[in-house]
Amino acid sequence: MLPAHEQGTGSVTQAARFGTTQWSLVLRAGQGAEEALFKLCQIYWPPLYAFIRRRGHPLDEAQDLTQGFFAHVLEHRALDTVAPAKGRFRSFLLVSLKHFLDNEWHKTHAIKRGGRQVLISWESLKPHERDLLGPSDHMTPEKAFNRRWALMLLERVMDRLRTECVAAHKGEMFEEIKEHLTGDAGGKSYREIAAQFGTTEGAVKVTVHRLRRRFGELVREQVGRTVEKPEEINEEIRELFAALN
Amino acid sequence: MGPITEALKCPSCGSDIDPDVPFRQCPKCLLDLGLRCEGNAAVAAAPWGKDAEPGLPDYEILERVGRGGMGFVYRARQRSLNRVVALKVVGGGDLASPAALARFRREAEAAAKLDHPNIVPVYEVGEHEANPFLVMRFIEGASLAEPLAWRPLTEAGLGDGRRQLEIARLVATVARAVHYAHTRGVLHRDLKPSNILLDRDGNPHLTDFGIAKLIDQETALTQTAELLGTPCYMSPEQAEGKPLSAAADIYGLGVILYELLTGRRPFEAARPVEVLRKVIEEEPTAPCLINGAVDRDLATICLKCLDKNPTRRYGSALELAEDLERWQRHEPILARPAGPIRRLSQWTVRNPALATLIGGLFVGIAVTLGLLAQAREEKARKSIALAILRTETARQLQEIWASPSPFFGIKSETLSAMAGKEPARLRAGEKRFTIAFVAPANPLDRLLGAAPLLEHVEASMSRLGGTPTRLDLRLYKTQKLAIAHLTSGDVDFLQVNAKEYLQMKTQTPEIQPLVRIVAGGPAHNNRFVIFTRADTGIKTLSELRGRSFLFGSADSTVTLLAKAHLVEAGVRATDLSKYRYINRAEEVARGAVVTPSSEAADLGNPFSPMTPVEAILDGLYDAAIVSEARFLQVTTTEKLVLLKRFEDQSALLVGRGKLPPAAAAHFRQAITDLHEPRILQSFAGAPSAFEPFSDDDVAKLHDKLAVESLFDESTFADVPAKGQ
Repeated sequence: MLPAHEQGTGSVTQAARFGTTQWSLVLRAGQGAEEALFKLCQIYWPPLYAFIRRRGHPLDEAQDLTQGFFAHVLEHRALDTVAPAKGRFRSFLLVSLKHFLDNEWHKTHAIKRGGRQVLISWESLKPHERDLLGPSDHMTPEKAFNRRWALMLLERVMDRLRTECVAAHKGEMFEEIKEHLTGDAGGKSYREIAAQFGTTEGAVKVTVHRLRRRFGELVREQVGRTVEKPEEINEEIRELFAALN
Repeated sequence: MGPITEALKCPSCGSDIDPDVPFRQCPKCLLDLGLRCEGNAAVAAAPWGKDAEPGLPDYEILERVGRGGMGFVYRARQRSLNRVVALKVVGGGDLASPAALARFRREAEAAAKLDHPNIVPVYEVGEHEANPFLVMRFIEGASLAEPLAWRPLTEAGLGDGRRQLEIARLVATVARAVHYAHTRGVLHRDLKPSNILLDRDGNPHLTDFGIAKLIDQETALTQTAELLGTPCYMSPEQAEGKPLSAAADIYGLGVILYELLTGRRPFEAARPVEVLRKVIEEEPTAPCLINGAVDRDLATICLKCLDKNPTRRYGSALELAEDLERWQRHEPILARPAGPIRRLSQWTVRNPALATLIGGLFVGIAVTLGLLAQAREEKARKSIALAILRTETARQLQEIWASPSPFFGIKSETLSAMAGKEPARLRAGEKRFTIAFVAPANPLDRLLGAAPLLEHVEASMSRLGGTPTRLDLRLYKTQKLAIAHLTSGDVDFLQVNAKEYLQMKTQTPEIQPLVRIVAGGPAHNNRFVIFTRADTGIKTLSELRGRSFLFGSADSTVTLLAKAHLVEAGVRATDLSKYRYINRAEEVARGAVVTPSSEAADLGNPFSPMTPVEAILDGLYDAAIVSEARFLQVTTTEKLVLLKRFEDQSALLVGRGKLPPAAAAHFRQAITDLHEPRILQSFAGAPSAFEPFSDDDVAKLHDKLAVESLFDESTFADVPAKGQ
């Protein structure tokens, strides 16, 4: 089975191309660039939505609030005025969202504003994407947010790596060897893969090694876009790691 | 793949993989890959190829000479032609989409067609294993961004004119190269010192035409300054994401010139976002202000390139080059310093609140521009603007007062600006009310005196109501029109005297009493007396029968109270030999009244051709009303006799009918909470406090009014005389 994004189902992940993000988008969204906002929304809705769900809002309301948050950003340049104390884009977005949710005002306006422009196509989501509550009942909204953030990031890195491989005409091979990214115990053996692609076991091993390294680089690159200084990359990865426990 | 509810365990670390993990692999182990490859930088080559070096058959890699957001640059030997070239391999990921790759190829191929001595020639454009690459001439030397290339230009004294000539020559050369590219339809899009290579003879060679931004546009803005450099060289239109033209490259040239002249970039900040904001909103500091040695004409050329408006930059890079060359030849340059009109318009964009206010005044524009243009510092401009606002408002006020216009309106923001405060930004959703006072004369004093009070009330009402609230002020020449406007709802709050209030109330019962103004100062300023000349022989009010009487203005409460006292003493209009009112409107029209701020002061005005005291002393009338203070000044001569002393309690603030109850309540609370002497004393009449106006007070006034109304009736009406 192909990953959702290759089936052309119009899922959110397909549109959320690895690339433009963060401050420039915020800035442009703040200036009323709808396209930038749209992009921001497509990339970052899952952690925000997970947070709202964990706060106890039912599905419909959480969807409205997620949309409402982005609409709020557009209408009020909200992201622009809530100056980030630190350069972490993740913390910044979370603070902005809390700000938004703590504001009583949204409750009466969320539906109206959210309904003005459909930013997220909820109908196209799979059941587990609609829920996003996370596996544990004891998870705090913050942890749900961070966990979903980590998964979003990894998913995008995975998509990016796949794209690179496809561009290098190694797409099929990638699908076979990607299970080896996290260790050699899963998936087809190197010998089977080598036989399938007419190469040697050693070559497959080298490829897996490079894929792992590249995956790591892409993780660092992606994380690097959301922090202020390169020194913060490790810390950010560790914090995301903690959210996955 | 099984159903999503199936529990998975990570084969490596053994932890559960939750069913909602989209890629069905252990996220912790994947994330860990990011920690394990630390040391590899954020941008690296694609995973394919020998040791991340491009395995291009015709090229032998000699050394890696650079790495940027685009990927790596190698010094390489092209085997077939046996020449040393620069090989630039672009990291594949960012151009992964076929459309992006196609664009890259198109741009790179256009750049490859450029043939100019100051543009690094592109020999070949291609792709290798999905990674686009460029082969270019290898320039021995350093880029302008490298400190060694820099130093001779900046650190040697700019006072030595030769350095500035050198800079002008360099930028002119680059500008001509840029112009050449523009004529062939190629924009550079990313001019900055690192894209200008200086060969061993110091000749500039431009590189990365068109392509740098293509690659960077997805990443450059999004990366932090540390990873990819700052957006300092970006034009405002680029920063705003607008379509680019040749003007963006001219802006880039301007930034380079600026940096060479001053050692700084026009806009610097810790965060890229701040830089972008500055690029969009702020004006660069003039280079001469950073380094006094910078030639003014050269600075003017530089600032013309940096104009926020692309259409006001040089029309082409060639025009820039030519102006720089004119400067080198000591000929007059074509660029003009931003004139006062430009400066004002730039300034107004940044100070919308103040600018709107000034604009609304239709100020003598030349004066304003001249003043504003003189000030270089933003702060100085602001205080000049405030001064203009003050003097112009005052001037207009005087003009209106001399004209037939019945009132002068002033916005809350202007009023606070007149009081020396920078007006707050206009905000959406704010509530505005209009408060009216009547100022027969000296409106400016009245206006400035009211400013602190209104400011306090605004702040309190905003706080109480939870919405920004503003009180605009109207000064009326006559009470009559002010009352009419309160009744019609044009005015929300009005200061009236008790009598006016009662009369209004009979016609418009919805008028709401809000507060009474408690007179301040020594008691004799608030009291009034009915008095006579010592030689009239009159000892009591009832003895005024057959005598003449001078009242205050007809509609004043003081006159009302005086009449009520006369009625109570059995004296009616018909009992008086003659009487008249001091007609304030007449006096104002004659310009006779200079400082009245209430009827009390009006009557006692020493500059009036006919003060009540003079009228009595001169024998024009036998008795009159006057403030006790004024009376006491004269009694030392023992020529006057006091007949009756009474308190004035007349001034009220009322609200129009249908004023929202919350607004009325907040206004009342805001003003009764006010106890600050400084504010109270500056308000007309220097009240000691504001008190809620009670029903009891209204009833008492009604009684007085009822009594007063008898004054004009026949003396035979049966009213008990209780007077002295």
